[in-house]
Amino acid sequence: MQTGSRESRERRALNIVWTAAGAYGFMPDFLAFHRDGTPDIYLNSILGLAHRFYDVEKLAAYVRTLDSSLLHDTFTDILWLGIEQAVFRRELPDRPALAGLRREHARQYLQADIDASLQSLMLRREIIHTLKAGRCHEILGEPPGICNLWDKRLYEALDYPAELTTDEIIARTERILRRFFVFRWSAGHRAGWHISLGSRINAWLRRLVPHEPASSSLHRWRKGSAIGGDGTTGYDSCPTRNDAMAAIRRAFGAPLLAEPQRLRIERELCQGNHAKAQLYYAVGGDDKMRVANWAFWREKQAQYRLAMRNLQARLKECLSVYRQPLSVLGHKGRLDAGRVWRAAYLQDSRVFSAWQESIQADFAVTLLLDASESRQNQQRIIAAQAYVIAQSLLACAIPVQVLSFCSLHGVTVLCQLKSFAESDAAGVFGYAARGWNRDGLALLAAAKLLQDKNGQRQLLLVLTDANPSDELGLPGKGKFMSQRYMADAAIEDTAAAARQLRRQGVRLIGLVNSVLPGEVTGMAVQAIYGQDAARSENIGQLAAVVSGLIERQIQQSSG
Amino acid sequence: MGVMREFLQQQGLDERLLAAVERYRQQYPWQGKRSLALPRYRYYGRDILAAAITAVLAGENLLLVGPKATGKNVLAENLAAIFGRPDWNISFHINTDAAYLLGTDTFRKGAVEFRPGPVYECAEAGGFGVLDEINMARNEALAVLHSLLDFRRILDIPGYGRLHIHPATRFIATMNHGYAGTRELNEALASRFVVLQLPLLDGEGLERLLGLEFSRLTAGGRRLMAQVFLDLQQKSAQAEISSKAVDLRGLLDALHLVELGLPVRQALDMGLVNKCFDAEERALVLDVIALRIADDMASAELFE
Repeated sequence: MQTGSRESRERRALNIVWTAAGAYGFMPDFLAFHRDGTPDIYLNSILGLAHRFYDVEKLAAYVRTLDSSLLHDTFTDILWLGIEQAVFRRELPDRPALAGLRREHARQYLQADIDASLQSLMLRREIIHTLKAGRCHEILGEPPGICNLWDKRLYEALDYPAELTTDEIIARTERILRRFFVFRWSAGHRAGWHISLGSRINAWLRRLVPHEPASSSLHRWRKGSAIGGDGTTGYDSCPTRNDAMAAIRRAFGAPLLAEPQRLRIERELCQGNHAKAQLYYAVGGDDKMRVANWAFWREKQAQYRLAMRNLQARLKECLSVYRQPLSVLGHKGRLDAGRVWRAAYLQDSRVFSAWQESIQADFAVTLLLDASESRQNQQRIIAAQAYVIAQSLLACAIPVQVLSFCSLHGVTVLCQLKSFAESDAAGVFGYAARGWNRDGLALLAAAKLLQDKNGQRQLLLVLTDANPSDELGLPGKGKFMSQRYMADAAIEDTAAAARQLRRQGVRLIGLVNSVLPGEVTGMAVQAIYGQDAARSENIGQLAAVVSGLIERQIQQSSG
Repeated sequence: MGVMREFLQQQGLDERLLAAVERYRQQYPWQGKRSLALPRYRYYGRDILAAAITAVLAGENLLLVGPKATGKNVLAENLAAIFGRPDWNISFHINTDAAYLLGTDTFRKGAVEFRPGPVYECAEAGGFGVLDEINMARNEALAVLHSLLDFRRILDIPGYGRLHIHPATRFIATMNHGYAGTRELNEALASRFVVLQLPLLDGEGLERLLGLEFSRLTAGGRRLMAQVFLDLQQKSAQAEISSKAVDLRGLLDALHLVELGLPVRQALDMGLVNKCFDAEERALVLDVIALRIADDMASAELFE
């Protein structure tokens, strides 16, 4: 019976592989399912066990030697049939349940054979089917049913013992291929039967070889011309400020603020270090990226939903403590009639009760996402994490808005992906990474969008790699040359903006997620966010890290 | 001490440490009404035991920190037994307040009098107070314990005077930093404890624990159950499932059911699987078990 979505079935199959492998750091491309769509627990566990027992690099190298062979699919299936037998025998003493799983797998394989459609019969490779069916019959205690003498000998040759090493598996398979195939369909030289037939071998190769996502590129988007020595040439090479702003308007769409308001903010903030910069506030995100981010969320949603539940539980618990006013006894306050006798008989003057203030829960959160090019490789992950955080805050009735920022052509753009008024955080999936990041200006500009209502406290949670840099440099002062907006100069500018926000009463928190190690980003994080920062490298940590940061802010707010 | 001393010797603890424990016991012989219980489980881990015993001898309060199934309560009970003191187990929760911990007024024989709470009783008698899941309570509610836990070692009960706590008294708090519903201890409270981080049980430790609890469980059965538990622990550590199914008490409960004849898978469903209420998570936990335990495995295959 097919249960659950395709994503959840794939996740289940993947977990079977990982459990059997005893390792979680790899992503096999090959997963096995029964015809009804449920994961084949036996074959997936064999895949995981093969990862545990053998040197997958060596096996992959061997498969590469078969690359482009006329019978590459057949050969790789033969190798796999041998591995299955060896793995089963090797693991059975420690895992007796494997025998039952194998029987169930065999039963289902033969049942599928009976129900096979004409198309399936036309597509299947008969020799491999004969071998597999023979193996399944034998597993069920029946004769293999293989009549052809050549088939029978090949079947017997694939009876790999448990103790084979990776090298021995390769050597044995090589002997079998030479004995049974080379002399049947070629002149005896491997070169004779190696012809190019595409890349199916690669697909098989990836079944056994773990692969990890490519490391994030730090390559930056930049306009055609290079940045000049004064750090401003790249920007100055744009025809005019007006042209730059017009390009930004076309790229980012409708403005969030009326033009007079935008200009007022720009005049106020674009001074000093940001004298040549401009500001633009946009509504919504990028529709193309929304599709990609949403697809990623759908694929990984089981894991992210778990993180969301954990975060909600922690936040609710945290709020249940800080929201409830605590009744405390004291020498003044509301007279507690039930305790009056204590004053007379026990000389206990604490017969009053008072409610402890509960200003702590009265806060709103703004998520500010660094949307520069350096985040592009992690774009979908950041969108999913931001969605988890925003939805969790919403579920706890905490007002939340989500902004992203980047800089292009000297214009720092803030996109409002979700406003305080919206009751759903789906707008976060419009997050798109491009351009540079002028963090100092972006922090100040984001502060202009914080909710100023009834003295509500503001938490500005920045998802960042703590690596500010912009093509538009810092202007020169007096006899000093202008500088590029990067490294120490950019960090100092951002730290100054952070200090300014803190002076204004904004609680600034950094949630750092960087491809660079902590030792590299640590100085910048410390300078900008001080103690109010934490690294979150994976979704498993997210709930604990975010709730911990928010709880700390609430505690500090309560003095 | 006989049984516990033998156990500590088996663990390879320094004889000088054991002699110091003996001196403590002679200095503070237990003569109260509360009976001294022999712990049901032993805590295995020489280094942790040595560190904890040293802390108690030095008069410190202990904070035991670790995830689920690391034996925090077992260690606390073991320490009480090693030092020959009764233990008061006080479970903390969100509504824990001063009255729950210290005591409250009650009416008896026509007069109002103070009815001591568990912390008061423990402090007065010189017991070992186990403050279980201390970080489930609000830090404000725990402020009443400050004077008790620091060098002053006193407890003021307004209207009833001041209690100077018995010199043999020790407080052992436990906390699981990752549990839903927990929070960080504030510095004021944390500074009143010395902190021991307890490691996760490894396969060997689990098998030993299962062997002690179930004498009829075969060696193969011990290994099998330990492997199932470790697989679940690893999956939870990788954030693929929550920690609900990583429940050592649940595993022991399930084995008790198996020992009485229930089929293994059914017992594990009751002890572990059904604690996951999310259907997807339950499916993942079931797969972990299916990879080790056959559908039809019977009690007789695990127990002699």
